[in-house]
Amino acid sequence: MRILQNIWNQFKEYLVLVFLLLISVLLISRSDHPSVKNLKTTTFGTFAFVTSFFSDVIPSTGLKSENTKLRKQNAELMLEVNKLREYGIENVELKNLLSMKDTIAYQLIPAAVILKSFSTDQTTFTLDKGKEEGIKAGMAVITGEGLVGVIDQSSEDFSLVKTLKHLNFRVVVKDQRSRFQGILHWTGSQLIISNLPKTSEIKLGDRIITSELSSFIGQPFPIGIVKKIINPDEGYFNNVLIKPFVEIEKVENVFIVAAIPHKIKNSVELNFYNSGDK
Amino acid sequence: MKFDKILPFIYFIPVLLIQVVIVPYFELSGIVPDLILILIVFYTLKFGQLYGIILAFILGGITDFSTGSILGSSMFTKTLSAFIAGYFFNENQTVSIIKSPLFLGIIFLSSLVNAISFSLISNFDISLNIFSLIFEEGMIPAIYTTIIASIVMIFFPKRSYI
Repeated sequence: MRILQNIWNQFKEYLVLVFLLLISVLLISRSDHPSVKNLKTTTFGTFAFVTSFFSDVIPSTGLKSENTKLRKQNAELMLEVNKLREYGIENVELKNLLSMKDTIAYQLIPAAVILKSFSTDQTTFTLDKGKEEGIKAGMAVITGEGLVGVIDQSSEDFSLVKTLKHLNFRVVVKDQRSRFQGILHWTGSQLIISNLPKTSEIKLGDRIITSELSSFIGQPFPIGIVKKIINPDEGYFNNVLIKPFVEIEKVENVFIVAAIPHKIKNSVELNFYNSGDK
Repeated sequence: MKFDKILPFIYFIPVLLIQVVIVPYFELSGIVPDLILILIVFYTLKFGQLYGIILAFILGGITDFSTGSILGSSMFTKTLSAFIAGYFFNENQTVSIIKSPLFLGIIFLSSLVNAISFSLISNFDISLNIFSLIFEEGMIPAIYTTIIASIVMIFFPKRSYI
């Protein structure tokens, strides 16, 4: 107790300064002002450069077990790809017959997570790929299990991912079975689809995927399954709790979907999204 | 003594009004002196570093709220400036410091830190070079604030009421 008293007496100015500056930085970081975004981009770019050096040097502890898991997943995917290839050929033939155009074009860019934020309500990742690899704000970030988040900012060599577990993350999703659509968001402790009409036919265990109506994720990426339906006595809406497929805290390697879901839609909506960064 | 420590909060209201309403008329190429900083440095030198830090944090917060600037920006910069000014606090020489040229030096130093850090937060541009950051965004506002502080110093009453 006396030691603490001594420390306080000796360093109280420094302790108070650090505490007050931390509060200020916290408040500043919540701002959406363009200059704050620029500052964040530069800061995380610089910080990520240093972190990437250490993450390259220090091997990951879970690498061995993840390799085993990935090999198994690879084999399973290979079998699935064979099956899907058949469906793909069939699909092209059918589309040709119907004279439909395939507007979806995308490529997967592998990236490693080099930094994770510790905030439970604003989980962000820093990836080791940036503008040089063609990464842009708004691109979807996935793993083999499903959607992780979207690219929020990118510097030349690094990118910042706003994950599903971020208060400002919103994405239009749908129930794969009943096709009901809703907006998914993170409350700080739960992943939730709120304000769904009580008439919506959503059941426990239903798969939730991103909707093609989403502004910047125009493809059906798996999100999770319905864990709980909160049905309040009053009002006309239900809330649905989602258990995500991806364990955000454990993600180490991801793919960035360099997707252009629809060129016209993209030029209107993605540009609008990007205009917020300027 | 306790009432003395509340005084800056009372003086802050007219100073903030002057800063927001009148000072913009005296802008030189978009640069204005920072009267709130002068008030903070003055009271930091009078009551010490810890008092100054807390005062600066509170007044910075009110400034952010009332001027619509990025919440936390003035809190951060003013707190940092008060911390620097606080290094020059000497309990036995409060009045002599405030009336000496050292006061202007402290104002200049604090104002420089305040202006540079504020510029980094609120006008950060990736193309900004270190030269323009220090001179255009830091030195010039600091000199302007120091000139205004020198006027305050000249008219500082022989018997302190503040």
